[in-house]
Amino acid sequence: MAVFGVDLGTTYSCISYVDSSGRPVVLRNLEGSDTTPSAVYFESPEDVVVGAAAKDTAVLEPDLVIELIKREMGRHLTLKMHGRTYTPEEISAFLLRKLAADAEAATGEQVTDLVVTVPAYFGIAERDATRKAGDIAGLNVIDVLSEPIAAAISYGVLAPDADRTILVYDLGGGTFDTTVISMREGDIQVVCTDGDHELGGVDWDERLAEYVVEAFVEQHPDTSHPLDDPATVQDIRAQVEEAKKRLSTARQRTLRVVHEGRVAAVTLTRQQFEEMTSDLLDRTVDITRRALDVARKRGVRRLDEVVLVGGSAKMPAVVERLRKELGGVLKAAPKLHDPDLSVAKGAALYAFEETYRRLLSAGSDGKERAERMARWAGLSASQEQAMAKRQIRTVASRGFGVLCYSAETGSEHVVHLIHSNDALPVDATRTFYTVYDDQGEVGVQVMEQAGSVESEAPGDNKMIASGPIGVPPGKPAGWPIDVTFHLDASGLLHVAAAEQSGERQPGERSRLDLEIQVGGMSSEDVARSRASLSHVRVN
Amino acid sequence: MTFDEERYAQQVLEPARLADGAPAGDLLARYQLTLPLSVAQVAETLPAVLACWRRARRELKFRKAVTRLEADHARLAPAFEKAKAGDLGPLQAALAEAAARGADRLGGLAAEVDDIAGPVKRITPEAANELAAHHAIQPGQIAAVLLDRGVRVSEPDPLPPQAPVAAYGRYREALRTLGCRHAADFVFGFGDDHAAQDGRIAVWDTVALADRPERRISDETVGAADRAWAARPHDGSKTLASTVLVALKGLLESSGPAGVSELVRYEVAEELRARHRQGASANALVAYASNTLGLADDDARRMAFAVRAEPANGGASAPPTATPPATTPPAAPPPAPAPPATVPAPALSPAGPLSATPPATPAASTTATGTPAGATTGPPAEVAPGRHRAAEPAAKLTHGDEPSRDAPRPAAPDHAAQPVSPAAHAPLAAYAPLPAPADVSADRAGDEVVVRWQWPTELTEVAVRWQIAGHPWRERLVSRGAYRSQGGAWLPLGEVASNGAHNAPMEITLAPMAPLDGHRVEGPPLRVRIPGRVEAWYEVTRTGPPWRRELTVAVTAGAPARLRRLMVVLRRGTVMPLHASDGEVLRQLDHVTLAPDQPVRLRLPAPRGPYWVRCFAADDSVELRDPPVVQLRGR
Repeated sequence: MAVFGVDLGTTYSCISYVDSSGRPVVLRNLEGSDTTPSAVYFESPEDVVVGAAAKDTAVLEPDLVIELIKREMGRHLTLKMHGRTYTPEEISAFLLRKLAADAEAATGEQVTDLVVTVPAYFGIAERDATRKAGDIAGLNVIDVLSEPIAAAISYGVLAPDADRTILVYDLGGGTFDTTVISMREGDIQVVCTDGDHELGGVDWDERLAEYVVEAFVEQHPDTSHPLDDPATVQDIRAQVEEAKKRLSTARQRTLRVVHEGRVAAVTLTRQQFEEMTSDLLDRTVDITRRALDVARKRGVRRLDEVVLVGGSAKMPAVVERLRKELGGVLKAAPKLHDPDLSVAKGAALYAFEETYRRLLSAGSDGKERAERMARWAGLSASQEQAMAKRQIRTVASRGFGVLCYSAETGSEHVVHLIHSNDALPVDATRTFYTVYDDQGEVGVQVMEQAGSVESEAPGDNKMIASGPIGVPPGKPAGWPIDVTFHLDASGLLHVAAAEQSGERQPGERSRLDLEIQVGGMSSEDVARSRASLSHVRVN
Repeated sequence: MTFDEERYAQQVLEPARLADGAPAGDLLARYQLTLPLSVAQVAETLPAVLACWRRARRELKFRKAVTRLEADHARLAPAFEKAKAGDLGPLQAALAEAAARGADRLGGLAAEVDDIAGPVKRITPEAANELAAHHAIQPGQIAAVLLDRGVRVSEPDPLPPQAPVAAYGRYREALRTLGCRHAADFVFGFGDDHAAQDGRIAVWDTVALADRPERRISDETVGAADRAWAARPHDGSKTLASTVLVALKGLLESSGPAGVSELVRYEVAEELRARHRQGASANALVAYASNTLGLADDDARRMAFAVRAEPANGGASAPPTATPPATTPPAAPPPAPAPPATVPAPALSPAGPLSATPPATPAASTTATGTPAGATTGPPAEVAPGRHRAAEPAAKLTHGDEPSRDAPRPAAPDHAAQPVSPAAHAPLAAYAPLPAPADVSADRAGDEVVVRWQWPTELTEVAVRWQIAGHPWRERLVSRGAYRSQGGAWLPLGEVASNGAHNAPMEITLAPMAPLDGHRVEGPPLRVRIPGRVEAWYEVTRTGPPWRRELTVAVTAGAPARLRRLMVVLRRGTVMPLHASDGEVLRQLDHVTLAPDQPVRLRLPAPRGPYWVRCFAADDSVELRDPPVVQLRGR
């Protein structure tokens, strides 16, 4: 019974599992690559192509290929293909189906249970959308794991007994996370996390694309604009991505923009590329400094290692810059740790371990299965023990609170019960009060921090749930209502509100348990989608 | 109401994109709201707009614009939240503030329009669009501002790049001496009293008096001027006038009144170009065109606009490209089946005095070259573009200029031609009063030149002599019978054609010959000049994926040249087009400037199926050579 770990990336995805030697192994897709481009080509209403073939087709059929869908997860966005609208969850489901199918072909094992990684900085809506994508794909997402934790798990395997504090700098295709992690006696504790899930390698690509397009327009002012031709745009995207990768090792690169029969050859040095994207790198450094400030306040004085993961971290400018910025707190130079595959491997390890731990706590039958798992993976008794007791503790990536009204100022503000970087799981209860005499009912509006730092301004927060709770009649202003937030280790939030007077009219609600509706697809939508998309052929 | 994303892209996203990402200030359009606002409207429309931005963000071309829209929205989000909650006040205030800012922007725009349009009161469509984009306003708004400021949007008129008459310098000298500013002055009879004229000239379309459009350049008005001058006593001014009239009548015959109007426009344009080069301001140009050259006010502004819009080297030209220059093209097939190239009007030779009767006795002396004195060619008259005709028959000519001081007798006759009687080579004591060939024309035809003329009844032979610049004279005696059987006198260019000199200027003389007392006598020769041609060539390449092939035609010349018209002709099927009319004209460019190392490129979608694509030049001063056939033929 294999369990799998999936790195569902913005630009590339991969799937891994723990083999019979107990090692995490990335499974090659049917095309023979470790990584699968996160591109979906809607060939027809019944056929979908995922991966390299879809990416290549983007030049020919740009309107039928969707890429970078991870950036839309958790948003109210639909994209129309062949007359049907698709949500980001559904498109991600096609990616998962392709990965699962290829893994099945590679291992002979059916892929059912898996762990999917998400950026540490993903909020509730994004994590929920990721879970639903798995659901639509007919898979059982046993957990949604933060990517830096996955990378740390994979890194920890290299030296399982070494206690250290590391910074995971994860610059992927579409997202950036920076996380300080403490690894002690096999346990993994996230100290703090920060990031920007709209900052990644594609932003470097787009900067380069703007540059070459400007050069073309300057050389050929009498043609139509290259960006007006979707095929030209896709060709440029493919070239700039390749150029960005090549400039990690080469000093210069020439790109050829072809549009309306005209050609513009643009030669670019690595230095020019680094100059034109320096502000993007600055943003990652700024976020990293912010995380280090928080880590410092939590007692971290020195970093043992800076681990770079994510394909975009391979750019030489990243290593140089971090070395320069973090020289004071680093014991050693930043180093790349299997940047393309470490997250998937870590997810596979976590999936294996978590499944083992859950089986262990599921009665004798579960224990037997857990032991079978461990034997199959060739784990020793001590390894089993270590695995059983390993604890992975993470932190909240965002703050959560309640929208309140101030009678004195006449304005609204958010009171946070859970704060970003609070260790998970976390419970928080606070008493709130009615504003008016004989109010009758209170609307509880649950808010999620939307910015990089906590703010009480309603505009800096996003409402993720709301519901009414009744107040007995005749009660004066200031009547107490208790609100409790519970955020579990996988980032799921549960909110309960209660009016405790005990005076109740029949049918009145004295307690409110809020289902956090983060928008997007409901459970019914997911079930419908799973059924309707199950006969769409993938590759 | 369903949110129309396509319309939104046209209305909001594209203008923002053209304004380098700056969205228009019109919030109603930006959020697709209509007044009066309602909570339901805001609740329905806002999510659709935000989703549209998100989708548009996925396209590179809209990324900057969407980033700006989202950044702006962050400022307005609280007002929208309040509106959704039932309080429309803040949103209405935000809309009112945006509208007020928009009004201020329009005021600034009006000032900028005045500044850019200046006294010519015209701007190009491109400038208008740029202004609209820069101020982030809708095209309809800018049109209203322009109308209010009395500014017209138009492309500058193309101005004649070269004089439509060959001896333009002499013509202008004669005109100025007569006190005329341009041909319109001459035709309408203003003369040197133009200061007293009470009318202005309209120069666009057919030139006419602005306030009396029925008085226009036409056969009648030119004819009337001709008759008026003919009636005047012969003096220096009449000589000058005849120079002018020859030019005008020649134009009338070849191009009709449009040709003379074109001449007027060229004259005016040249005057303004000179002042523009000297740095004259727009005001000065308009004033000069109006007050000095006598153009109607709006015509003066339009002319100044056109002159100021011309590229620095003057005249229309295709934009140069930055691509490497075309390499020397492979040898092209000889254009044997092509229609004969036509000869442009040669330069007018200086007009000597004319007499109505031939001399009673020819002069007995000869010139140093052996050419008898007393012979003159007279000025060849221009008949039609590309075709040259000789002057009046020799009988009407008196002595004056030598036919050509550098035109010695040919050293040896053309071996392929009928040998000329040796007697004809001897210096003649006199020219016989033989009737001269009439209606002479000479046309290039590949590596030959064909000369045709009308034979007077009594003439049986004509000595044709020709010289390519830098090469020796050649000679051929052409009998009437041979002429008739060959359809003209075909003059071979010989080895000159193979070494590329066949486009050099040529001079041809035709002398009537007759046998007399056992030898041939020669009448006064006529002279025909064929100006040189610039050699141009083109290449056709095909690019792109098989389902979207494109043709690129790159045209270059060996020397700077201006091609009056270039046509790219398509003929479907397997037969090559021999003439421009043999197929469909895919693209036509007028007034194309050609230069070495700066190919003019045209891009066209490649047709499907078998086809031929070929270029034709409607300009006798340029010989356009075809590339290898494989480039012309598509499958």
